Amino acid sequence: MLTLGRAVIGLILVVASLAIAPAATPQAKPSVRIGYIPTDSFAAVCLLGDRHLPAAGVSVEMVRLAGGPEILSQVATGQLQVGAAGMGAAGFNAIASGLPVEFVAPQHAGYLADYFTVRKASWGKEIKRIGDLKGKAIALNIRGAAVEWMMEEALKTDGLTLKDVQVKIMPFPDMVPALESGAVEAGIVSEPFPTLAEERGIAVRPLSRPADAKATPITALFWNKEWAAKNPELAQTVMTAYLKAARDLALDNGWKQPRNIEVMVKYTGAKAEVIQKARAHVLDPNLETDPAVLESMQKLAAEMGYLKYKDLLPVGKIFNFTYRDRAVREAGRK
Amino acid sequence: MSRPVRRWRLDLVPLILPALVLVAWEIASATGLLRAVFFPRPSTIARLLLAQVADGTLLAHLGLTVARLTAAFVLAAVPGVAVGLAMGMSRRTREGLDPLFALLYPIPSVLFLPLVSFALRQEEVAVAVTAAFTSFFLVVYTTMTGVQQLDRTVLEAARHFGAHGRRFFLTVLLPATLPAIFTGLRLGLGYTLIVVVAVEMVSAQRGLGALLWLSWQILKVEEMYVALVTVAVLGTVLTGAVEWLRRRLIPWAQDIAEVGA
Amino acid sequence: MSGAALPVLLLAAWEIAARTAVVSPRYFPPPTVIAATLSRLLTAGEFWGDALTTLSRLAGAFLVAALAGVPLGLAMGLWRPLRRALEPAVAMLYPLPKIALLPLFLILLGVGEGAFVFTAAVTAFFQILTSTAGGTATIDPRLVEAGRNYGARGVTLFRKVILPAALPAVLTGLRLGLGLALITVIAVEFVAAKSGLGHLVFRYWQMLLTGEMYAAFLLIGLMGLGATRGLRAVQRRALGWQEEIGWR
Repeated sequence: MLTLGRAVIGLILVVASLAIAPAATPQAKPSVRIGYIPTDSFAAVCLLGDRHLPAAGVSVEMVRLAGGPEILSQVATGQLQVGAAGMGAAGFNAIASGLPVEFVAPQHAGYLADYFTVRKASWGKEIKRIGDLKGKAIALNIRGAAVEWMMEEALKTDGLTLKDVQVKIMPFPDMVPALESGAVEAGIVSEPFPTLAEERGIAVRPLSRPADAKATPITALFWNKEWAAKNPELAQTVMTAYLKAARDLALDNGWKQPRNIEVMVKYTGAKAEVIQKARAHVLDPNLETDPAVLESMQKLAAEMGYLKYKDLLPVGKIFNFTYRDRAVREAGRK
Repeated sequence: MSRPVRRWRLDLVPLILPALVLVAWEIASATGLLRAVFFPRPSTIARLLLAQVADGTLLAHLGLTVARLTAAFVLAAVPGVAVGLAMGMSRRTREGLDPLFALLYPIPSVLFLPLVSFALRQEEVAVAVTAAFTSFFLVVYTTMTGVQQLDRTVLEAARHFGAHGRRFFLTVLLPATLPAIFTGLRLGLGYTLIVVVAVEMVSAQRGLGALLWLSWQILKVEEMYVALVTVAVLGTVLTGAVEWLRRRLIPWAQDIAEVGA
Repeated sequence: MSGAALPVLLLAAWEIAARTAVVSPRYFPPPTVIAATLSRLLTAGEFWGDALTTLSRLAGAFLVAALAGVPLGLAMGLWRPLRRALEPAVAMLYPLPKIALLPLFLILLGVGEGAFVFTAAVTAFFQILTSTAGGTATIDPRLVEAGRNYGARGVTLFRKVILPAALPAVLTGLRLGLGLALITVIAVEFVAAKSGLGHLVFRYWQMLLTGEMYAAFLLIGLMGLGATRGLRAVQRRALGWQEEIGWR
């Protein structure tokens, strides 16, 4: 028989079960969509998404895109949360246009000596020094980015500027037949293509790395600002995982370790032997980058007419290093 | 309602749809419904377009694209019509070449540009050949089917009346096939423009395709739209020119819609 | 001279040129090597999954383009006001390389199959629309008059006179559209996808494996050939009354 007492106990039980139920249902796993380009310069981002973020309990979807502006636009519109791209005019214009993206850490950097590739047939003959490139065709894979800045700096050492050479834009693989046929005399070529060209005996990398050389930052990690503001814990988790990924590659000859090469092969389809033979990309184990170089890149972009704005942005407006600083602090410097 | 007024009204009809779309876009972009960084207001694009026309930069790019288009189109159209006629007239030729062409047609020619450049050395020649590739097949196919769809009885009658060989070809076959040839050329021209722009996107320094790609790479999106609009206008002008030529040369191909269905 | 001799001659010339290094065998591998590479990869199980992916994207794009393009093309061909209203929009949109619009489509539709299929469908759509509308508009008016004189009206006129008369142009448009859809799918896969034959071509080019790349091209060509043959079979059934003209 339903007495008042039994009804009250029943009601308490129902209310109690309602209170406990949400706590008992499992929390939805945090998830992140990361944009990448299938080249091994994106190895750090691939390790982030393939190894360290899942290890931190975050589910990841890796989304392939064609290039930097595609990834920037997808992150800006919130369809992706995290991405990486070449540091350059696209990034500067994106920030200046008020898109909700912020750069948060560098990805890979490079030394001119590893990139500057010259036709073997010409080196030592028509081309003995950088100054001999005057009026010649040079290959770059894109304008407004670090490779253009690298070329400009190299030309400046011998009194030339980009205006003195004939720039031909083409994707990296295309540079190999172009060097072979003489369509270009030299180029800023990214691994593994200089190695492939050297192996085929059609090109050389004649420059050596000076002792005090600093690697030029080429790509950088960025994310959606609004997402990070709404999910600061998750953003910090991403940064900590990214630091681990960068250290996997930067320390203990990580670039050549089979377990890392495996991930690169998975995402780029490149052959493991080729990555083994090629020169390693450069990553900083503390995710440091030189703000002076970034300012110089912005200046060059402005001079070349690539920017949509006049007053140059301070680096602090482009990069937000607070997450990086905390991650490095917590993990300890290496 | 008097005739002249009706005709005037009819002339405005084609403008209604594009005008509506433009107005909707302008509003959406201005109010933030569409993100203006990636979908700028048509008024902004128009202003930039005029500025670039005024300082000559756009016309320089346009000129290069038109030059490449002309070269590629000639490369596609001349052999295309010739081979198409041959394949339409001879079953053996058709059966021999059709499988080969059907095999080659689906490959995006842009993908073997680096190979063609390597073989041909001369960059602009490589661009023209690569851009002509797919259009060649388009022209061949439409010309061939044009010949195949001719009214057999007319041709038989002509032969019955003594037309043979070259005379048959010049006075009967060719004029009868002209409408199909024109359609093929119009398609070929349109598609050549598409491929020329695509090739410029991958490999050129100047030209509308190069302007398009480079502005996207540095996220100067308004300039990308200027290039897109220019390509669209160029394509429209070219199609209009071919249609005008068609009406001059083969006025006998009547429009069923004019007769009324 | 038999027409079949020509392709064989071309292939033989290529084979000889590549083997004797008249052309660089690295960038133009001999046809026998390409064929061998393709069969090796197929028997090793590669290509099948990606081929299926490409095929399904192609099917999706073609169906969407045909279902939208044929009815609209017929309507445009038959009804002048509609044609005048849509013609400028079509003329302006047709010349844009849809691959140039891909980044914008990706923003609007998100990265995924939808955007890929949409891009290819749009390309094929314009082709099918233009061919159908053009073919419908230029039907011999005497046929229509004759049909009317025999009492056909409305739907009967459409089914028995107009549709058969427009069919050749429609089928031409479909065949061309099918090819263009495949081209666009491959181009989109090359640039933006993680699967499909176009993506494989990208991967092989990134490794400068030209033999494998040509093998992928060959498979793409075979896929196109197969698809157009299929369409041709449909064409023959639909246009059975058309005799073929033979010259020699």
